[in-house]
Amino acid sequence: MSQKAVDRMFLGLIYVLVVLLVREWLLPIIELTGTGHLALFVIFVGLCFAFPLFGVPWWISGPVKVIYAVWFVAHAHMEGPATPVAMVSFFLGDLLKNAGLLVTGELGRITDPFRTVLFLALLWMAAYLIQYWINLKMSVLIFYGMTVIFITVLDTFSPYSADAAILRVLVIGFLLLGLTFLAKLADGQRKSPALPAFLLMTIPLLVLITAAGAVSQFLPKSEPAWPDPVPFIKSFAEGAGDGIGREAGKIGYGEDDSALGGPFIGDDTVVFEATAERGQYWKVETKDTYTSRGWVHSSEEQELLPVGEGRPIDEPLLAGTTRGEDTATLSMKLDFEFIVRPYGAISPSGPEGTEFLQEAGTEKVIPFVNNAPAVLDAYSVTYEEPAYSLTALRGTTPDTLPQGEFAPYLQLPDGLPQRVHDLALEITGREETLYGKARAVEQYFRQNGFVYDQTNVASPGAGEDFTDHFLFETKRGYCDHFSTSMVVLLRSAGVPARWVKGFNEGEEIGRSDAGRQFEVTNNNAHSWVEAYMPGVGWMPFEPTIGFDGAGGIDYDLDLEEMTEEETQEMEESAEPEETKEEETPAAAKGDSFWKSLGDLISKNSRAIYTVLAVLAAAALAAFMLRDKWLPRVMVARFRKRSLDRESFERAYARLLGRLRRYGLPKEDGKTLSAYAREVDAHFGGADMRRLTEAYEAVVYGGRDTIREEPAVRESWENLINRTIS
Amino acid sequence: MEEHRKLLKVIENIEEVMIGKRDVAELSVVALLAGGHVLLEDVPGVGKTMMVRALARSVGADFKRIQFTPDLLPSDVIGVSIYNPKEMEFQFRPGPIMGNIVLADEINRTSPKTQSALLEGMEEASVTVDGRTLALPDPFFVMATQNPIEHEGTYPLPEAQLDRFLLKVKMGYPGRQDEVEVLRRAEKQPPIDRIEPVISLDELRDIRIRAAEVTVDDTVKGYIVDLAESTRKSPDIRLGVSPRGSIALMRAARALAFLKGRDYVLPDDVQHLAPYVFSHRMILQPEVRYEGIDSEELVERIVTRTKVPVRRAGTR
Repeated sequence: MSQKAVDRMFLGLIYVLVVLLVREWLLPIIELTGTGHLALFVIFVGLCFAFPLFGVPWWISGPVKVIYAVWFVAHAHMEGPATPVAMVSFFLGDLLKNAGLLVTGELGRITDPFRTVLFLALLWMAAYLIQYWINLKMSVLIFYGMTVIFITVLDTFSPYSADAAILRVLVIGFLLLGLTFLAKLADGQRKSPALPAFLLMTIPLLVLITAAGAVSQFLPKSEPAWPDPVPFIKSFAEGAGDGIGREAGKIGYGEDDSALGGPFIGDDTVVFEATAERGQYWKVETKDTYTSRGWVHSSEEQELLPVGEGRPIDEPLLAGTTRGEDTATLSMKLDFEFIVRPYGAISPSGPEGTEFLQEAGTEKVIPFVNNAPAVLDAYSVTYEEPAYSLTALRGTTPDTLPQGEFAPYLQLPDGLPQRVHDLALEITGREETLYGKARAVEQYFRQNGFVYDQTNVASPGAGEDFTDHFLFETKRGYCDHFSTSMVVLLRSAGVPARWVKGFNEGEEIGRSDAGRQFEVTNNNAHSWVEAYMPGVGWMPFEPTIGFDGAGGIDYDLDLEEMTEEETQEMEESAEPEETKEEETPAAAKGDSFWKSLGDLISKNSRAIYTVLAVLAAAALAAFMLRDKWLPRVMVARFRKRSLDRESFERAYARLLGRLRRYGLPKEDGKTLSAYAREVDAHFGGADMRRLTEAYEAVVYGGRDTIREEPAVRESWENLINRTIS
Repeated sequence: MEEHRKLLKVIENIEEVMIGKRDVAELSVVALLAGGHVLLEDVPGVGKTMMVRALARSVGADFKRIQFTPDLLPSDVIGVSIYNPKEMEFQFRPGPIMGNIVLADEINRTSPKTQSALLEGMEEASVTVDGRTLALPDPFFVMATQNPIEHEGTYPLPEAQLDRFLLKVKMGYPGRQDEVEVLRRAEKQPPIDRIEPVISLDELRDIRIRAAEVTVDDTVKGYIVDLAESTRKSPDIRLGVSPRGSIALMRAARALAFLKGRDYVLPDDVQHLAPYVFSHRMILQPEVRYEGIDSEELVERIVTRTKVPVRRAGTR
């Protein structure tokens, strides 16, 4: 077998191992994101490595990869017959559509096929990078290290279990490292070893790794000393507080909301299935009293009023349109002594003899059978989905609000920190209408660094206000955090608001003649906000990031006004930050300089940290990349200097330093001329010898002048430039 | 630098008769230039005599050869005063030591008394006969050979006397191709007869003075001392190199630098010569000797471990 074929076989082997490592990256990505087609992705990666291995020119390999990508996308996402023409038109159509979305910045609406295309492109680039590492440096250590970090981090912080993956990565990685080391050894020799010798060298490696892997697999393993570092890291990040370390609750619909917060574990137990025309929020009840820790209702005893005939569940829409009457049919999987209903609910109907009574305060509807609360397996609710009139909403100035009537919905605990009030004023101050204020608060959460998270959520410490803690300390939480905070902010701004509990639309599982079927699980338990709009009624708002919200707007304005409205809204949403910046210097005038400086720092701590981080990163990058720029700086400085004995010695020492960094260190026991021969053998030419001879004459010969100075300078520059790796 | 070309020609002459032994030829010339003597440790029959004769002819020097045997007496080396009845006085008849270039063959086969007669001459450049001190010719260059000490019937030279030799060189058998070439040449007229003198003795004396003027920078001196000190500190060595050894290394390095046409000594010169200068000036620990490590190897090890100065002494 020719040497070339052996080399190629060896490279092929390394590539196979690398593809296996890449597969270890794909596995968790696919598991965690619910993507399919692992095999097809791996094949694509394999193609990316196989083409260069066999020396296929780019004008063949490129189109083949593109064709594969088109086929992949069509195969995975296209419905209908898979003719080439259909595939290409599907692919191009999708590409065009998403290109438009990319341009307009609507990243959330990018389609799955396009995501697949992007992911394939990413894989392509990754494969190219890995090949660069292997071909030029015969080094996979960086890639291997990144793989190990990636897998272990995922294993620790995500549901992905990497028990088997870690063993696989170990075996593959050490094989790769060992083989590339052999290749590096062989590289230094004039003649690379023959195939049998090479196999002989690999056998101990294989035996060692197999033995170590097998032994480690079968050895008993002690339990981890620190099973889950997440709570610790979380508490470390949040700072000390006694509310921390609260047990993770299970998500679902609960009656007791008096102490909100703490992490949640997802639960996809089905609560009910609903058949309706459209997906929508399912409301259960509202609460009006905020306690700094959670929600209760102001009156323990609720007046029960029959609903149904003649008295709709929800108050009729005062201004706006409805979509006409629909019926939602519900089939309950868990036992609840209340019903869930859509917005605009009119009347429920259950089995014979069921009476529906509504609590006047909470608006919870409870089915009664034989005068006792009952659990219904199935019932239906008629409703008219509301669309609130924008014209009416634009007329909701504070003076239209009836005085006194809404006191329970403007309640706030006495201990609410002033900064919450200040923030409410800051957000809503410029809005003239209640609707505008509500929208401003709703938008506030989308723009100011808030994060939706169910698991890494710290609870407020004793004496801390739940809302304050979320708004100013953590900015991280789930629906309860967002909705409660919005209610509190609205009330601070004088907008009557209440807290609503229920479920969001759930997942669509099919269609039938009666409408679309939705499956609602414990994960869909949700809370949101209702604010009172004079002349319109109670209107739902959705502050939680990533949720659509209930109810629609009836855009009953003419077009010009619409545009004006939109522009105005955009301006308003951008304003809070501006005011924030303006306030800082104003505050600095009054107080002492140091206090204001402290304020300035604490107010802009995020910006300062960002700047510091960027500077540190830049410094680190400059340090890491010094091989690229330092030599050039040296040359530039060297050119300006005259070359005397001293400066020549310094320049030579600097060159030795550069060569050491480059990977040609001078051993202690080696003389300069022996070293110079070595360096010249590496770079070719005779620059180092010429330079070293002149240097020797200075250092050992005691010469004061440098002989052949121009040539020496040139040699030095040549050598320094060659150390740019 | 005409001189060093001539010296190279001398080396070439030696190479004519001793194929493939340029390093030995070079070392011999170095010793000659430095005014030292060479101890060749080798088995018989590898062409030592030829080499020394070629060297002698090249510099137009007087060549003498002493074959040492157990029954050789000091007077057989130095010479003897014989009573001349006609003149009615003792007349001194010089022994073979009275030459410019002396080959002392198998020096360790003779008694210590006879050995010291030669060694005294080497050290003092003069001999004492009947209370009179006679100066030896200048230049005076001894190339002594000794059988590897393990051979039977030898009187090993004491360390203090080994110190008299500037270099100790092991010659070894020629390589295969070189030996074939040796055979080919042996068929023809011996090449030694064709060798013409390259320099005169006067010139040689001149060159020696010039070679002694080669600069040894303090940096390099420091390096030599570092090397000597390493031999004293090494756990494998019972007795390290004396300051006299350091001086010898410096002298030899000067000569080598001159031979290479330089007027300053490089650490390379020092490194190259250190094994030849140091190895016979130190005593190894017995256990090291039992392990089969010889002193040349140890010196080479020390050389690779000692830091070569790359900046002038005094600068940092």
